[in-house]
Amino acid sequence: MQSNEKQNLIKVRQNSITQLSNKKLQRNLKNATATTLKKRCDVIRKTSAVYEKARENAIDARDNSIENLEKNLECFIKNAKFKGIKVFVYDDYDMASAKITEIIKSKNADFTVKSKSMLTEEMRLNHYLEEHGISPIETDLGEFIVQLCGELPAHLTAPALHKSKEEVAEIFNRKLNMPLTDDINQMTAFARSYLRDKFLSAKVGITGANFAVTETGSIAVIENEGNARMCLTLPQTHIAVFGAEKLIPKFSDIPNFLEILSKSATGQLLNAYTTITSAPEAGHERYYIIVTKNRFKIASDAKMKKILRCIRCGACQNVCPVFQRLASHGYEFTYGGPIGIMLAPFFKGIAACEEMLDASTLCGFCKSLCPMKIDIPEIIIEHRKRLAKLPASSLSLKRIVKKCFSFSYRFFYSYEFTRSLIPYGIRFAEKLSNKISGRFYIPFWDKFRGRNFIKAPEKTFFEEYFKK
Amino acid sequence: MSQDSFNIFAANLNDNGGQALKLESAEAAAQKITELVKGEAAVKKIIVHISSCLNDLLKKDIVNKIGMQDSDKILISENLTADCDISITGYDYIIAGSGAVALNSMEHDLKETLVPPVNILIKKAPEIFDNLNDIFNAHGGDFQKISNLTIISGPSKTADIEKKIVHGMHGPKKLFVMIY
Repeated sequence: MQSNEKQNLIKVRQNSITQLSNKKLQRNLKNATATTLKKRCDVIRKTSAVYEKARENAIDARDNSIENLEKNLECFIKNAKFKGIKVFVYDDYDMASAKITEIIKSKNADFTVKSKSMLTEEMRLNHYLEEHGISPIETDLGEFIVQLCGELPAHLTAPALHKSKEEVAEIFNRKLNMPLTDDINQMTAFARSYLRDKFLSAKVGITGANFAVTETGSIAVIENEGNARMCLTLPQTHIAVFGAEKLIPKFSDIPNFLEILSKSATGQLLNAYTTITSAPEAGHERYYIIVTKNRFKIASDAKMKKILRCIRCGACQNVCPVFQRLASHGYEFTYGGPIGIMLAPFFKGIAACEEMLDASTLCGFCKSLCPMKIDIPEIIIEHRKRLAKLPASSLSLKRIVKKCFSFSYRFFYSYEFTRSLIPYGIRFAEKLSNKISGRFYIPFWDKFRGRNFIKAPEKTFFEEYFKK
Repeated sequence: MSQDSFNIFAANLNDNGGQALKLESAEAAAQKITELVKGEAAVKKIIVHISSCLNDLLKKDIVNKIGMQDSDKILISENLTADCDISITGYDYIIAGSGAVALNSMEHDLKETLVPPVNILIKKAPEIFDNLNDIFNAHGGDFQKISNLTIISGPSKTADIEKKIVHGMHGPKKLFVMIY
């Protein structure tokens, strides 16, 4: 299992070279994250008292829900069924996707309109639907753009933040025959018109859910564009796909989450549209597809369960100095940045995340901004500790060397011995590099050529200043 | 209804891209609506929905005013169709701190506030709440009984291309909230 994970190593280092060399991407990312952060700071400063109170209440509510996740899920299902909603729970992505496909086909539909949902990205639902003859049409503008480009979202709340207007115009022109323009208003008007026809003829609409209320079986869907409202209300059949971690205990908890999500995600007082829906309208049908994959596992891990507090606002991504250069694509996982680093070991296996776990400076900015007060650096360190405990066979050479050092530092004499060897080791490496440089072909040598070895001091700091 | 609460609501709605209007009487409101309709280019069809918020008398006044001046051009409908240019509908409550209005599905057809490019929401002396918690404390029990509660805090918008805000992505491009 672990050797498989090792083979599937997420190559963040290699990806970072590609991402960093793309100057246009770097400029787009910098502008997008800085704009959102500024708006966020302004709105939270303006409403700090309400925000802080809502934040404390929301954290209590979510912790309460995580503590008894399985029991709360049972209660939610019971209440939703009572309201006439058909509920299905799956631990497996393909089984959940198969059920969604079955529902769509039972309505004689060959396409579906879809609003943004990170869980469906996690499940690769679009890929599954296409393989089974159903065309999924993303209707959130950012998701629509990345779908046309055949890419994955670059950010939790801004999927196309890595694209410039010229790139969007080019893709609209190439795929949909839109006349080339640099006017963003014209591009959005074109997308509105193109997607409006799809909404009006769709038989099935798919949305996610930002929150699911255990007490009433209701869900809350929050958005700015109106596409989720259209997916919810225009087609006869609505399917909501969400993870078990979205549960909150009471209906009265909703305002606390609304207060913090909009401000933290997009720097708005409140998103343009909030729909809290408890039952389908007359003549309409509603399904809940709930995915539990890894959720119970995380909830039962005492040191990790706070990850499930996450409301997917994306603030940790905006502020992360590594994410600001890589975007989600650099992490090869649905979720990039700090939230991705916390979740990936559960989904990809910890050995596969060896490089990913290093893709954090542990600066703590994410912790200071997280509306749900998740101690992100602490969780990343805990993952690193668990990684270090793996047997050497499942680790890279770098980790094995680290492991050897770690072992030798446990005992005074072995520590002293290893330390005394370091200056010699560096001198040997330096001489060797001077001798072989330019003589032989050495893979990746160009990455090290021109770098100076740091001269190791003969004595340690303490020997130098206290043992004179 | 306190003037301060309305001013806070108006300022916040304005920040969100909408516009709040306070009128002295139903007649003044009907007159203002007529002006707004005239201000829009190439209006062919508007939907005016009767509800307890938008009573029959006001509706007749609006229909008369618009109908008298432009009977050959503007079709006034009671049923939503995809080609409606403007919707005139009611709402239930104002949430001042969020610059938002709340609508429940028992009273309103929520699609009417979503499909046309311009949405005018009107209500006589609505209850105004300071923030979301206050409205949920007061009416949370009622909200649980209805199928859909929608909170609207501005026109439809997107910032998905280079973070530039563009109104009217899928829903209305313009939103007017009136009280009288």
